[in-house]
Amino acid sequence: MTDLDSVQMDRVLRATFGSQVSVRARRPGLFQINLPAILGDGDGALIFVRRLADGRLELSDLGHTAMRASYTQPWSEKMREPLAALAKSQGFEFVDGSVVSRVPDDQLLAGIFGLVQVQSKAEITLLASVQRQERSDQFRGKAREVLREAFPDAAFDYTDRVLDADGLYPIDMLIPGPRQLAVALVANDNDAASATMAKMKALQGSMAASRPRWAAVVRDLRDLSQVSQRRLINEDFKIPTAEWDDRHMRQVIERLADLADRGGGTFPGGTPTVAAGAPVR
Amino acid sequence: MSDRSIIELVELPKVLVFPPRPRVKKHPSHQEFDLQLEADDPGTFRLIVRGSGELFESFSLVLLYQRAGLRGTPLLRVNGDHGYHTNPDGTRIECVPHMHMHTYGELLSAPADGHPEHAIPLPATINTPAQAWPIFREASHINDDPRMAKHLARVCGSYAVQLSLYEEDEEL
Repeated sequence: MTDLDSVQMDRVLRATFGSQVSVRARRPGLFQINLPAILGDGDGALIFVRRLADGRLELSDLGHTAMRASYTQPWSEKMREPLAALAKSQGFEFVDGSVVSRVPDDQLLAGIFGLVQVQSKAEITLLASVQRQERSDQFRGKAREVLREAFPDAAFDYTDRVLDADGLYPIDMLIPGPRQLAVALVANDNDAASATMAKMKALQGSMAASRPRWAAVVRDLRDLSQVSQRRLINEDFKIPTAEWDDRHMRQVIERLADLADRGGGTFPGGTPTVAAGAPVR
Repeated sequence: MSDRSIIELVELPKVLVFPPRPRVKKHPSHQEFDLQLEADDPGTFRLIVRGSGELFESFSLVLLYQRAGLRGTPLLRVNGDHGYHTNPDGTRIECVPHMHMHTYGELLSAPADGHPEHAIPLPATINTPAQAWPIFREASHINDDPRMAKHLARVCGSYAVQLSLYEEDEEL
């Protein structure tokens, strides 16, 4: 095919898919390929193709995957990364809101299958990803709130201005005490990786001399990969509880206070604050 | 959510709350705006409007329901012509606008064989969100408001330009 011709394309596709396929001109030079590929709500997969100036074919969803994903929640940047990853897994790119691939004619069918795969997986992939991120954000917000109240003199998002001028390796929380305690809030594998990198970076600088202890407050240890769990353990992060929830907050605070040799913390509505320098238990 | 409660939720009178939620989307492939809907229910209703950037006739009007502990659920949706739709019984709606409902047969007239449909076709003359609005509004029991015209026009803001270009090309 040189010029994109719907009759020719229709013939090629029917030879593969049978009579259930059809090609429909949507705009001059822009065609929609209707396949017997049905998404979860009964709508057909959305596949559009046009000829580019360089002779290749551009396969695209014309933004419909992102549009459909935004029915239950407005499109947000949180959805970009998982959709881009899903597109990439099928040889596509996520460009300006559309899932796109440019292919030679002989890869058209493979491309069509890839685009169907992206669309069929997108909804559940994006939903799961957004829910994971929301859970992570909620955990970090709640943990900071509770720990800030329990340890009012703690520093949050601490960075060594000399060693890490750009603030690339922040320590989530630094609790002063007879024994300084660096705390990582770990909701997911990324957080675990960041925590270990922050520790390694910090120990290259002045913190090494004070020999701080390290702790990881995890949202749910079971949600971390084996690699992340091993990283935290091998890097000697103390983990107060395997799961962060209302039942375990007191336990987490007391354990952190112990690790900082402060002898206790303030549980919201409960035990009074124990300042840095309090007697070692 | 039971079918009975879906029907009750759809039939609850709802009032549009302006202004729309500010847009945060950066990519241009589709236009969107959301409006909150007031109703006598502990949950939250939202009107979701989406429009394709390139195909003005491909759009969505969605009645979304959210409640604590419940994932946001589209109760009813009007789609423009994005392509075909296949119902659970295998019947196919060709490339025309259509209305999605969870169990449409129970909400309006059940088909003779008793199987619920997921969508029914709408007139092919509906090409924009503004043209679909009266049908969607009536089915969703949402009040009318003259301010909607401006917002719906923005979703297919390039409609007139695209239409004129398309017509020119067709003439060529």
